[in-house]
Amino acid sequence: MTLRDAYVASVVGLLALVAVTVLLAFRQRSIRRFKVAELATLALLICLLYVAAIPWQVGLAKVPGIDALVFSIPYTAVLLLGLRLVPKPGAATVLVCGAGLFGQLLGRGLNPAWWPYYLWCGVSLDLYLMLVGHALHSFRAMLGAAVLRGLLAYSYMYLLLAPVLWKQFYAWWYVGLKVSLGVVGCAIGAWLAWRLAPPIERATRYAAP
Amino acid sequence: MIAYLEGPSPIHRLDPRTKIAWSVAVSLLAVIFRQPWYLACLLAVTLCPWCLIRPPLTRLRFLLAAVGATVFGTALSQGFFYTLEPRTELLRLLPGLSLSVEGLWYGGVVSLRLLAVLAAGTVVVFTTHPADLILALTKLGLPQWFSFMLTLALRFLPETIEQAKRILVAQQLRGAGGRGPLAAARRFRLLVVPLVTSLLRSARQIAMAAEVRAYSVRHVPARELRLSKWDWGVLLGLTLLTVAGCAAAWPSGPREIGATP
Repeated sequence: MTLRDAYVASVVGLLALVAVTVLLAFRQRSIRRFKVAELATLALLICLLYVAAIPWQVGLAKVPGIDALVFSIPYTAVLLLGLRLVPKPGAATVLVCGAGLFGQLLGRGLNPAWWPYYLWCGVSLDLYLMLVGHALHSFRAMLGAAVLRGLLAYSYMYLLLAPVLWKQFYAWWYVGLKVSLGVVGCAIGAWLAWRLAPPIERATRYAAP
Repeated sequence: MIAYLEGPSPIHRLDPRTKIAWSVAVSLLAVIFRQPWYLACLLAVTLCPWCLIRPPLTRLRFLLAAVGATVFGTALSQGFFYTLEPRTELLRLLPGLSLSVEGLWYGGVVSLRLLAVLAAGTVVVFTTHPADLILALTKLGLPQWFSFMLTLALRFLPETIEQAKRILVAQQLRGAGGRGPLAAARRFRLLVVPLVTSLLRSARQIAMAAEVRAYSVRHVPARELRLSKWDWGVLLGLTLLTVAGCAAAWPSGPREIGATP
C-alpha cells in the first residue's frame, strides 16, 4: 500500500468515523442545536486557541522536536477548557475545525488538504467524549482526551499528511520523538485545564452578563 | 504577522471566491507536481500577484522570516532523513544519522512546493478582508451558523489581545515576572483565568444582543458578492492552468513518493 492509498484510506476512515459518531449521538439522543450563547462561547474559544499559540512562536518552539511539546500545552489546555464550558456533542469538532479554518483565514491561506486532518482530530475527540458521557469531570477522562488528541494529531501529521502532501521524509525515531513529546505536551495541557477549569466555571456561573 | 493590507491593486478587486479558487488550484498542483522544474514554474506563477500588490517591506518581515525558516528547516531535515539511494554523505552525526547531498537537494525541491502554497495562500490573506473570506466560504456552502461563529471570533481577536496585554501588565506590576519556560508557564496560568472570565462575559453580552435582535442563522448577509468579467477570466485561466498542469504531470505516472529527488 502506497502512502497515497493510505491517505485515501484515512479519508474513507474519517467518513466511517463521522457515521459512527452521528449514529451513536442519535442512539444517545444527544444531538442538539447550538444556542447563540454557545456559539459565542465557541467563537471566543476559537479566538483563544489562535491567540494561545502566538507567544510561543519564538524561543523554544523553534527547536525541532521541542515545538510539538511547546505548542501542544496551551492548545490542549484551551481546547479542554472549552469542552468543559460547552459540553455538547460536536463541540470538539467545531472547536478544532473552527480554529484550523480561522488560522488559515488569518495567516497561511485556505488549503482544503488540511481539512481532513482537522476533522480527524475533532470527530475522534467527539466520539471519545460520547463514550465517556460528555463529561470531562474527572482528571482521568481529561487526560484520556488529551492523550488521544496528541497521539492522533501528531501521528496523522508525520506519518500521513507531511509524507503524502509535501512528500517529506521522516526517520521513525524522529516521528516517535515528535509524537511522544506531543503527547507529553497534551498531558501537561490537560493538567493545566484541570486546574484552571473550576475557577473559570465558578466565576462565569454566578456572574451577571 | 500576516494580515490584510488595504490597497487598490487588481488582486484586491477580485471576488474572494476567485482567490479561494486560486489557492485551491495551486495547492492541488503543488501536490501533483513532482519534477523540480514544474514546481519552480508553479512558484514563479504564484509570485506574479505579489508584483501587482507591491506590499511595503515592513509588512513582509514575518513572511520573509517564514520563507527562510521553511527553506532552511526543510533542506536540513530532508538532508538528514532522505533515505533513497544513491546517497552521498556530507556529514555523519551518529550511526544512521548523516547529512546527504541528495537529501539537501530533495529538501530544496520540497521547499519549492511549500513556498508555492505559502505564496498563493498568503496573497489571499493579504488582499482579502477576513470577513469577505468568510462571506465567500458561506456562498460556497459553509453553514451560516459556522460563519457567524468565525465572524464573532474575528471580532474577538483584537479584544482578546488587548485584554491579555492589559492583564499581563497588571500582573507584572504586582510582581509576576521572570524569564524562562517555568516563568512563562506561571504567567500563562495566571493570565488564563481573568482573561477567559472577562471574555466569556463579553461573549454572553454579544449573544444576548443577538438574541434580543431576533438573530437567526438564516439571516441575509448585508453585502452580496458578484463575479465580474475579470473574475470569470481568472477562473477560466485557473481551470486551464490546472488542466494543463494535471496533463503535464500525468506522463510521470503514479510513482512512489520521493522517487524523483
